[in-house]
Amino acid sequence: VSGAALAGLRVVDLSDDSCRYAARLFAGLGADVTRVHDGDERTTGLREHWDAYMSAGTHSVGGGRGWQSWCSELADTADVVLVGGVERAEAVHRLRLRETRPSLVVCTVTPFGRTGPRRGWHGDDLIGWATGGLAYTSGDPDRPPVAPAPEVQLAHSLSAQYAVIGILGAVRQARQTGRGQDIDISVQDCVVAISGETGPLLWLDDLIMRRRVGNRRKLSAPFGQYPTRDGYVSIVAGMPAHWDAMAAWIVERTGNEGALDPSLRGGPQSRTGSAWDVVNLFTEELTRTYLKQEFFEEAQRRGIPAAPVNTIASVAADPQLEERSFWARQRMPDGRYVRVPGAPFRMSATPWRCGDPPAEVAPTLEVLRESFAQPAS
Amino acid sequence: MGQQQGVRPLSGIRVLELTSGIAGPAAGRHLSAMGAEVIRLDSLKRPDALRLTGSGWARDQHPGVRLDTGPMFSEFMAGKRSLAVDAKTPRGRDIVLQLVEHCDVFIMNMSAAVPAGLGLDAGSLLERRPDLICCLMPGFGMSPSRYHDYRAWGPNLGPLAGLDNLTGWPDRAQSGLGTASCPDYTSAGHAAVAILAALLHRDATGEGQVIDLSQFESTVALLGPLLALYDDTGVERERCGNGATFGCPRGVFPTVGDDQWIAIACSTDDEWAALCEVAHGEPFAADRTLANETGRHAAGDALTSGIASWTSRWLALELAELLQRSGVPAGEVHDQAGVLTDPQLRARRTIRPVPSTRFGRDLITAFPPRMSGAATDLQCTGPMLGEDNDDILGNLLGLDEDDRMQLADDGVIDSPVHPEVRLRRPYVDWVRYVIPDPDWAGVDV
Repeated sequence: VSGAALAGLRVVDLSDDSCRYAARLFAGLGADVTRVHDGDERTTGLREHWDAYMSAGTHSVGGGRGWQSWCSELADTADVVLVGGVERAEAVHRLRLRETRPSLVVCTVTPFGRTGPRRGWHGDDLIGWATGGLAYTSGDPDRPPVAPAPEVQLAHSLSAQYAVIGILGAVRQARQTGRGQDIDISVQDCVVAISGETGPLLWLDDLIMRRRVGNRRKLSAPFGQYPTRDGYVSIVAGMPAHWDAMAAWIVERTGNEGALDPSLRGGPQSRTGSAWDVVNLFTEELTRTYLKQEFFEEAQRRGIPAAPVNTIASVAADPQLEERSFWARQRMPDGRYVRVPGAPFRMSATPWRCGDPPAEVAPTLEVLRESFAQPAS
Repeated sequence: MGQQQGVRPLSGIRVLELTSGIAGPAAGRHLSAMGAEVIRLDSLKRPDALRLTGSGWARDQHPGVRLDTGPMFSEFMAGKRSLAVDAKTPRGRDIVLQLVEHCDVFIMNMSAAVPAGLGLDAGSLLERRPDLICCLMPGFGMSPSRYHDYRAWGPNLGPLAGLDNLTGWPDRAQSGLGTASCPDYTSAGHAAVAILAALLHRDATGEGQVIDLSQFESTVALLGPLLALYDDTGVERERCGNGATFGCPRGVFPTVGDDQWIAIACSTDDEWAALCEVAHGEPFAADRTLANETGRHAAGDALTSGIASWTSRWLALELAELLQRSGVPAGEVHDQAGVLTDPQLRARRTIRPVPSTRFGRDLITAFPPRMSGAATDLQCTGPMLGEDNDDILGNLLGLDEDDRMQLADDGVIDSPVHPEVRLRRPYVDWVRYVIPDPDWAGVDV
């Protein structure tokens, strides 16, 4: 073990929701991340925990003057400036930071990118899902489309990840050539980039319009979510061996020998059309006799891909996460501690750093430098 | 933003990928887009899941040819090369290990037991190449644990990590994540981040390392704020439609046309006021009790119905443009055809043609980071199975033609199936009118 992967990398953080997770990733990898605080962040309810989680391991500076002034001063010794939002992105580019710091990498994340006719349009996570084409296929057929897990802001998790990927590539290039660059990330682009399973490229190829299907898919059965005694389980048993194992289990548990019907055997196509409803009924007969975690572990023992449909409470209680020592403790700005997810990946030589959010906003660069010198709690 | 051709962040980096499904291939794709040479290990006997999808219209083709036709394969394997070798045979395993000596990064997303079963565990790989960055990304991590040998598929990881239960409407069972397996993509993103960080560390120190990425943990990491809230207060967030936590109104509303919708997301009172100006004359626009977010939340379904009644008289595109001009975040809810014709995506060439051995040219989506100082264009679509056997085995490993023929005769490598066969996608005649792109001029069909 030899320290942090990004030790010495200096990041100026002007992110908004669309790339806030990037700051957490940089800090976890050991970069020095300084958030320029402009005083307008809301800190109540979920937002308080959002801010604390995303700013873990970072430092904060601000007050007394505009964020542009702080940004210019910090950029003089920085490697990366990360910016979120349409107005801030344009304002940062007007600062022409790379003229005085040629090696700087400036990454902007905006709803639609910095080029094109909609470059000035505003958006958020929901608008990203909508205009990227994936809200259309998410939700129930008889209801409006929905964003996947909207309070998690998954589209923004993606745009933040792409920001870090682009930035680390550019940093590598800058270290080799001495030249930085601008990176332009559009949240809409990021959503389109994950639409390979259901998006325009498939539609072009087969002209089948993918729509909302609720929590079961017609590709085969069982494929989707099924009720248990305490919730739901998800089963994806499309392959021949998966169905054979399911059929044997159904017979063993419920006595329903209809599951052994030879016409249901074989690949996923064997359990579509009129067979789809039948197989789903057989499957429900089985799943309703189990608790979801119990079903999950038994299905896996039998070689069937399945999982419980977990709530937040059941994720928090998951035995695997406990056994792998996944959880970390994080200090909130007022001093109390909460349990949060630990490393998203484990690196053998450069372990993840679980830091705390800054307890206060440094009013000067001198105070900021002192805060970097303080050991993490 | 103009891109400088020729300069690439990962020039000189070679990646070996033994992957299937989406999470592993998508990770390799990110590295390919930034200039790494990515070699994927294929197998005719055990094709990966994306090759098996094929294209519906190609059912009459030879099964081996059909393995090269799936749009998902073209998309997620873009920019890569293919070596078709059976890693389960002793000679095949030796070839893989020899190849590792020439590689900087190894990616595998099979179940945790597979690497050791193939003799390709991290220890064996690092023995061959001590500064290797070895990224193993099974569903549940590499260390011995309760779920160590469990099967993880993208559609099951969302439910397990709590994402599916948070998707849908509070008055019904969860809708689930739908047809996009988000954990596959976010795990791929985390893998690419970790690999790039490890490369920077190696550049500085010469040290390689092992990345143990549990796709389950990688997904749960995205729910941090909700899990922190639960731990701190006992409050458990539930599914909430399109979510009003960050503002109100925030939702999807009907517009003119069958299954056509607009998304509107007001996060401030000013944005609401701007929306009311656009909706001048509507009852909700004149209601002063709605001027602040508390009032709008209190109005609940009545406000939603009022807005829906108004939006249903508009075309989504027209209303989105009008709202955006007034500073209100809004956008059409695109179906698949809508994505293709979206003016912004067209202007940014988000969907673009690139060279393809089977198709002449084929469509893929662009790598999202647009970099001013580096070319991040993917150079081709997914390769034919075994397309690069001769070059990799011959020029990289030094095996002559006789050796390669012997390997083929022994069933250790699979040669491309009917490499002379050229195919055309059914849409080629007309898609150039939807995606105007100078590169289509080179289409050879």
